[in-house]
Amino acid sequence: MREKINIGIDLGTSRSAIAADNGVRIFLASVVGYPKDAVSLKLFGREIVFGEEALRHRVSLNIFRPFEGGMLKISQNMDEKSKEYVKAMETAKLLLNRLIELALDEETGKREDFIIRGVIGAPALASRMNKKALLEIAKDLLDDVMIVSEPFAVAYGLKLLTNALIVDIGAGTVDLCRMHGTMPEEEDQLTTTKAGDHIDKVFYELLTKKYKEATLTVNMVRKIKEENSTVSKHGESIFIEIPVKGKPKKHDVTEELKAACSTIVPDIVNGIQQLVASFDPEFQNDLKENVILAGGGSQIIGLKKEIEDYMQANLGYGKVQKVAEPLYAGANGALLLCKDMPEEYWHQIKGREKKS
Amino acid sequence: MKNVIEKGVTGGATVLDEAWQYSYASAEYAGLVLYSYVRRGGSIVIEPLDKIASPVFSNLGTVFGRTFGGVREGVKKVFAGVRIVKRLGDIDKRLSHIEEMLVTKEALYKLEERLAYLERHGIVASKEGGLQLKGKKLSEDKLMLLRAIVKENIILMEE
Repeated sequence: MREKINIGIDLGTSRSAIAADNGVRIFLASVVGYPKDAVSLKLFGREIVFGEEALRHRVSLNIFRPFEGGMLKISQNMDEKSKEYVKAMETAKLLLNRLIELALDEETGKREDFIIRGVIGAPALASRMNKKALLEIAKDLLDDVMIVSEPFAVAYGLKLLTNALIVDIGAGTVDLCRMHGTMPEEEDQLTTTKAGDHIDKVFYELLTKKYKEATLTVNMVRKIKEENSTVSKHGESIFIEIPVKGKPKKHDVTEELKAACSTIVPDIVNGIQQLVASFDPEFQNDLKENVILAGGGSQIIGLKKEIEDYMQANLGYGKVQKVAEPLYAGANGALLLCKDMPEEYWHQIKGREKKS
Repeated sequence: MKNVIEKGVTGGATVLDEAWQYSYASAEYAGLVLYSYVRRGGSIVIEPLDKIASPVFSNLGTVFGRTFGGVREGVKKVFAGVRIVKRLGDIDKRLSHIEEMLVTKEALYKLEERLAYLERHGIVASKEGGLQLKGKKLSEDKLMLLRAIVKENIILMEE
């Protein structure tokens, strides 16, 4: 009898996370690197390098990011045989496979000794083509697979299936989803593209404008942001070392970072207002009471208060909470869904899979 | 009509399959629990006893073994052709087979591992006695949500 392992996966633009019911929880930068030449191939001793390691050695690797704007880098008008399409599918598959390998690292048996079931979180408003492509990729790697909306997975994991508003702030997108006890439909969900990557871009532009002599990369800027992100008016000043003509010099980046982080706030609060205002008036207060921030962006210092202040001013009231594990909230929820899914439902999916 | 019957038959088969798997798991689990108790209980009694007694009985055991072997051979000779000898032979074979299966450390380890797995994923012994299925019973609301996810995925696959 093959042992069953349930997994929940959150494939993100910047990071992908996996949670399995054998206790493994791990994340990986959503990056796949291929050695540039024979020298770098010898250096790594393998043909593919993943995650943080790939980022650290990006000079000697050709780097590919399979996701953009929270979705697979494929579009409606792309030919399925085109180079870009094939590459996006291949790198996404490699990344997913690596995550599964990591989840099985603790197990003593071989991969074929297990029935691996997975639920994958997809951005709230990912195109059907994108979701289908994800399913195609996963079907070859998992025995059984389903796809759910990412914010729904977060809500399910937190057991907030009714009267809650989930705001999942990722690198590529901010997904907002209104939960009211049923499967969220299109009008219950909103996606904005001003997210983590947008902050990096603005921050980089502001810094290069202010410190013309400093040499910076978007990658450096991202790291600074991840360690210090804030929209708070009362925080300490943030000084970082940036090389100027090869020599590291301290620079004050407080205002630039605050300004960059603040650029995502208007779209989030407008989205919250839109979803609250269009909800059943009898339950609007319940929704305002339960605004949940998830994803890496939820860690921006002062963001919770900023949104609460906005809600107070424009909606009369608002209470915002941050999830305890922002990085794993999606994967944890997907795992819980995977475990809760009755056996017969998996059989139904399997049956359809065979027919199609 | 054909579809309805097919669906009914498939559903029935699935339920039967489920029921059989649970029964199989229960039986397997019960066996393993019993084995585990015997083994653990046995270890508690035997291990200290073994430490005390082995210096004394190791030699005696050999003598006893030879004596017992002799007696058994004697019985075989006396009752040659009688059914009891065949029966003793069968028991011997069966015992050596069980010993081959169980006494290797690897086999014991595998049984322990299987027991741990069943406890982790399948069924556990309840406080009140007997066995119960592990896992929670989902509310109708939750089942409805899960059904909607399945439906959505099926539509996606068929597109």
